[in-house]
Amino acid sequence: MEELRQNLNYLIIDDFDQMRVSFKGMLTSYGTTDVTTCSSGEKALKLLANNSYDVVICDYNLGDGKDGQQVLEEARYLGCLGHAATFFMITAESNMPMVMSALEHQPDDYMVKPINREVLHHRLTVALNRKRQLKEIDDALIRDDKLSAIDLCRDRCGKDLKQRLYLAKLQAELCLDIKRVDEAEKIYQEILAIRNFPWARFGLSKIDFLKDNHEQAEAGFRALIEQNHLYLEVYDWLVRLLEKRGETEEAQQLLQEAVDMSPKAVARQRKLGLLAEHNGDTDRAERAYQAAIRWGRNSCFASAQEYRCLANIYQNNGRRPKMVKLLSEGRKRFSHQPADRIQMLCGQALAQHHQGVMTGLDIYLDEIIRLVDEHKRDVTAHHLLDAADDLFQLSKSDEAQELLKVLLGNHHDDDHWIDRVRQLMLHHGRDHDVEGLVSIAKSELQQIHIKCTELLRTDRLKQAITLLNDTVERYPRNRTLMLMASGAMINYMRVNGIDPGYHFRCRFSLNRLLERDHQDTDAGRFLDMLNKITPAAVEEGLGG
Amino acid sequence: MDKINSDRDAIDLKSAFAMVSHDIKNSLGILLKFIGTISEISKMEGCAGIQQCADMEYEVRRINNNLVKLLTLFKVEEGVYLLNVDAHSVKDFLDEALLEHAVIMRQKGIDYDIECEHDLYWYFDRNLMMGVMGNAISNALRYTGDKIHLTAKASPQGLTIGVEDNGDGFPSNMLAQQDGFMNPESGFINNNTGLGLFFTQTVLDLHQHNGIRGHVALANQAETGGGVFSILLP
Repeated sequence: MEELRQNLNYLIIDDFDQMRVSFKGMLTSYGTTDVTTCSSGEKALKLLANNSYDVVICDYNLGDGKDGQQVLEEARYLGCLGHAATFFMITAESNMPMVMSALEHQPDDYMVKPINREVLHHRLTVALNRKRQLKEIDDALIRDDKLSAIDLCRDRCGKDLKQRLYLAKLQAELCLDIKRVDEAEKIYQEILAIRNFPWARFGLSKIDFLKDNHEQAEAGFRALIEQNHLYLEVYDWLVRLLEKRGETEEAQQLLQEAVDMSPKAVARQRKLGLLAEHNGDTDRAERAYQAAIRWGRNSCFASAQEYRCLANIYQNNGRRPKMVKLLSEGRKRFSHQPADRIQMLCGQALAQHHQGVMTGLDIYLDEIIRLVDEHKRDVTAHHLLDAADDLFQLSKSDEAQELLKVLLGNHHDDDHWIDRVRQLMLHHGRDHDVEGLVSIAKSELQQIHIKCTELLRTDRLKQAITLLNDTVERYPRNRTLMLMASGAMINYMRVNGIDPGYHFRCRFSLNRLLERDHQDTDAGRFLDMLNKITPAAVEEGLGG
Repeated sequence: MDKINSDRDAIDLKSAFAMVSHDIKNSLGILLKFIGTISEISKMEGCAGIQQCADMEYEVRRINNNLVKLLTLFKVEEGVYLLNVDAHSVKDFLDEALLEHAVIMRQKGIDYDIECEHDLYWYFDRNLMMGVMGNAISNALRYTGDKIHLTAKASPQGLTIGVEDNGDGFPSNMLAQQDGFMNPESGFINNNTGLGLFFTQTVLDLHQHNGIRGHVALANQAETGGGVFSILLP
C-alpha cells in the first residue's frame, strides 16, 4: 500500500468524544502528529477561519448545531477551506441527499461508518492522490478563473475513467455558470450516451429551462423528482419555472415539500416566505421566515431580508413588542453589513414612529443617510427603495429623494426601476416632484452615456475611460456604465499592453457584477476576454 | 388505526431508523476501535485472547452488514433511496472490501488475493456494492479453509465479480434452490443467506442498464470444491 505523507495536518469534527479519540488514534498510528479535534460545526468554522488544514474529517451528524454539510458549504462560501484542503464527510448511512448536489457543495469523499484503520488509510491515500492530480484546476477555481478551469478540464481529459467523468461534470457545470449553454449541452448528451446519470438529465433540463423550452424542462424536472424525492435542487429549479409562469401557489406547495425534507436550508426557507407572502398566505410566510431566522442564527447564509419581512408581518397584525425585539436582534446580527443594517435601522425608526416615540428618531435617520452615502456599492436598488419608502413614512422626503437619486443613477436605463420610483413617489403624494426627480437623474446619466458612446466611436478611448470611471465612482452599481468602462479598458489594453491600474479596476468591476448576479453573461464574457489578454506573470503580480 | 395516524407513524419510523442507525454505527465504530486495541496488546504480550478478538470483530461486521441490508431494503421499499452511481476503480473497490475485514483475516491466518486489471473501471453505487461485498466476504470467511480469492472481469454484458473460497462449498440443496431465494414469496426471509441474496439482487436491480438486469449465482468449483459467489453487474 502506498504511504501517506506524514507532515499533513488534520482537523477532526465529531460531536461524540469517543469518535474523536478513535479517529485521532487511527491517524496517529500512521505516524501523523498534527491532529486538531473539535466537537461542533460552530467551533470548526472558527478553527477553519484561523488555520489551514490539509485534511478535514467531519461527521455529518453533529447534534443540535450545524450539520457537516452546513460546515462544508459555509467554509467553502467563506473561502476558509480553499480547494486545497481535502474534505471527508463521515456518514452513518450511504444515502445522503448531499450526494445529489452540485460539485461545489460536495465533499471530496464520503466514508460510511464504521471505519477501521486500514480503510481510513486507503481512502486518505486515494483521495489525496486524486486531489494532487487536480491541483491545477483547483488553483484556477480559487482564482475564480472559470475559463482556464474549463480549458484544463477539456485538455486534461482525465487519466482514468473516474477522473474523466468528474472533469466532464465539472466542465459542464462551469459552462452552465458562464452561460456556454451549447457546450454544456453537448457534454451532458455525451455522458447520457454512456449511462443514465440523473445529474446529467438534470443538466439538460436546466438547459431547456434557460432556452425557454419550459414544457420540456418541466417534464424533465418532474420526472427527476418522481424518481428521487430527495433531489432537492430540482425543486428549486421547478419552483423557478412555475414562478416564471405565474403559478405561484403550486410553487409554494412544492417548496414547502422541499423545506419539510430539509428544514435547515436558510435560503430556501426565505424563498418560501416570500412566495407565501406573495400568495397571501401570511401564516406560512411567518413560519418560513421564523425558520430562516432560527437556522440562520449561526449561519453565514442569513440575510436581513427575513428579519425585515417578519417584522413587517408582526407590524401588520399589531405585534409591536415582538417586532421591536426582532429588529433589535437583527441590528446586532448585521452590524457589520451596511445594507442589512440600513434595513434594520429603518424598521426600528418606523416602529418608534408608529408608537409615537420621537426622541432619538433623528439619530436613526442620520445613521441611515450616512450609511447609504458611505456604502453605495453595497446598497441594492431593493434596499434603497425600501429605505426611501420608510423615510417617506417618517416624513423625511428630502432624504428619501436623495436615496432615489442614487437608485436612478445606478439604473438610468432600466424602465423597471424608473417605474418603481415613480410609483413610490406617487404613493406618497409626491406627484409634482416625480418627473423632476426622474429627469434630473436620467438626463445627467443619459448625457454621459451618449458622450461616452461618441468618444468610443471616434476611438478616443482614454478620455472615455476616464469619464466612465469617474461616473462609476459616483454610481457604483450602474451596470451599463461598468460594462462600457470594462469593455473600453480591455480594448485599450489589447492595443497598448497591460495597464496595471486598468487591469485591477476592470477585474474588480467585473467580479462585482458577477457577485451580484452569477448569471451575468456579459460580465462573464468580459472577464473571459480580460483573462485571455492577461499574461500569467501579470496575474501573479496582481493576484489577491 | 385510521389513515392520519398511520401516516404519522410512517414518518416517525423513518426518522427513528435514521437516528438509531447513526447511533448503532457510532457504537460499532467504537467497538471496532477497542477490539483493535485489545488485539494489538494481546499480540504484543502473546495472550491467547487474540482469537476471541477476531471473532468479536467478525460479529461486529455481521451486525453492520445486517443493518446495512435492513436500512437499504427499507429505503428502496419507501422509494427514498438515492442511487449514487459514479465511475470507480474496481481494484480500489475490491482492495477496500477486503481491508474492511483486514483484522479478522490477519488473525485467522486467511490468505487472500485479487485478480483484477489495474485499469478496470466500472459504474456503480459504491456504498451499496460495498454492502453486497461485505455480505459475500463475510460468508466466505465463515466457510473458507484458509484462502479467499476475488476476481473481476469485464464483458459486454457487464462486470463479473467473484468471491471464491477453499472451504467445502455450498450444500447441494442450496445450489438447487438458489433461484427461489430471490423470490420473496418462497419464504427466503426465514433464512439469512436468503436475505443476503435478496439484498444482492435488489442492489443489482437498481443498477439496471440498457435493459440488462444483473444477477447473482452460487456455485462450487470443479477442482477444489470451494464455494463461488458471483454477480454480474450491468
